[in-house]
Amino acid sequence: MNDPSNPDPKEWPFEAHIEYPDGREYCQFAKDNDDGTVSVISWDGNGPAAKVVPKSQVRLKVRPWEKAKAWRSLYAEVYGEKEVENKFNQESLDECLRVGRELVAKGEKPESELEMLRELEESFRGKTQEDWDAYNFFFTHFPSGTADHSLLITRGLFLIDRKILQKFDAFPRSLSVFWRKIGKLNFLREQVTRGFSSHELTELIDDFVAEFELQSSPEEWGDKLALAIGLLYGEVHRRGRPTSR
Amino acid sequence: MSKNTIRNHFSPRFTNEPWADKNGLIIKFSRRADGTLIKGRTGPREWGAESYLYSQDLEDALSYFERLVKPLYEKLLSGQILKPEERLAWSYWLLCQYSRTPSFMIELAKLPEDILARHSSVDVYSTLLNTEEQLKAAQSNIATFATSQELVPFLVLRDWVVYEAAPDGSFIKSDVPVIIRGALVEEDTTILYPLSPAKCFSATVAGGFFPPRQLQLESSLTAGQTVDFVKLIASTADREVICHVDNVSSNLVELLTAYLAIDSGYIKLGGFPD
Repeated sequence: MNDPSNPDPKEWPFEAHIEYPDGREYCQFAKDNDDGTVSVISWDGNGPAAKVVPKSQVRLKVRPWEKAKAWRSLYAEVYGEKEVENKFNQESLDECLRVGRELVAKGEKPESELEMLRELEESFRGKTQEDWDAYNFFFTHFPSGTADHSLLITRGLFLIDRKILQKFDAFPRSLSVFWRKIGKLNFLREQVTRGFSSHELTELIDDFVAEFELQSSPEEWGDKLALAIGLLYGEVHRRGRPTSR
Repeated sequence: MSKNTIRNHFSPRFTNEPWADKNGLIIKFSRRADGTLIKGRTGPREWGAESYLYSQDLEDALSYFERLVKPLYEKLLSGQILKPEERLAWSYWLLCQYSRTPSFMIELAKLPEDILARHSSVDVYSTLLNTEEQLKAAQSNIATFATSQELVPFLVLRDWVVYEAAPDGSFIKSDVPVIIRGALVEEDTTILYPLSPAKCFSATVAGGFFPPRQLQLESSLTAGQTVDFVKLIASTADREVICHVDNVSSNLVELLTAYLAIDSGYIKLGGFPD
């Protein structure tokens, strides 16, 4: 066991209020043993020491400052700006394609896994470093690997909205197809915010994805959703560039 | 010539208007020091203001913020979903609205309670020796509090519910417009902001388990639940509450007699004796 005078907060995630017949005891560090008992670090005349008490005597709570960390971490996830990671560029894309093709040729990966990379290669042909920077920014902040479609929709539209606001004049209402896509994604976000699950939104998600010409297989519509949002972000980036005016 | 606002609203006019009838009449209830309830008439411009509460700079900044927030207030009333950026603005507004009341300012200024017990109006305090600087510090705290990046996650990340009062019930509004009961970090903390006699905003954690999903929901209350909300709003008032003239009833008077200002979160400005 760790030194009780210096407990690891991760190992002891709770604080505990223990009820005794003759009074109460507060312990700053406690953990649930999942066997009807709780271990706490208690102070007596000799200093801190671990002891076990019946769970029925204990009220366990996550320490407030640990909770505050969780809130702030969630805030950074939803609203924060991170340092852009996964610096992707033409060179690394070529390398991914080369490795991917080899694995497909050996039968170790299905052909479909190359499709997203091919679409990326197609859409980035002849593009500038600025385009790659936008791509890297988006995929640093967009949870593309998640199966949580509500998160894809909420976070994706948030990033797109911010991008549009930077160059709002570049998006006149006359861009009817563009605004139709935005409108569909916005409607999806509203339904997610109203508490509908992505399962209940399948038709609306399909309708939004149908705005884009994607090659992925129909059963992978979750990936298609992430890809469609990524493509829409790319469209916003292209239209917002000074050279596109 | 520079603008000089004398009457500063801590409850902006547009947030009072839903409680006014077509003639602009609002009914207010407050307490005498002996505990008896006083009923009076007021209006959206008159209520929720004090003379010389803020500096002109702060007044101007708050007016600008109010213009930004008014459309969001209307969106929430009409059931429209706020975008993430709008959610942020609304969360900062809740902090601002919470921290700009006279009672909160005095709490922050930490004026001695014996001084508070002798006077009942904020503009009197500003003339007292050694308290002016403290009030200035409290004013600057409004700006700090309202833009606090430390606090805003606890509001913006919660699930939001706009509650509708039961058909035979209605919400009141108090001089502590935003009610926060409990620690912001806890899931079960109560955060309420009555928007109109029919609607009350609440920030919560749906299901009671972290993490919240930033939902924005609407829900109808039963008659009993509506009464519970009204009790909480009344009890956390500093001195007074307002209600729509059509909603004044003997039941409301009875409830206010029992609950008005009995559990204010701040130091009370006169009013109900402890």
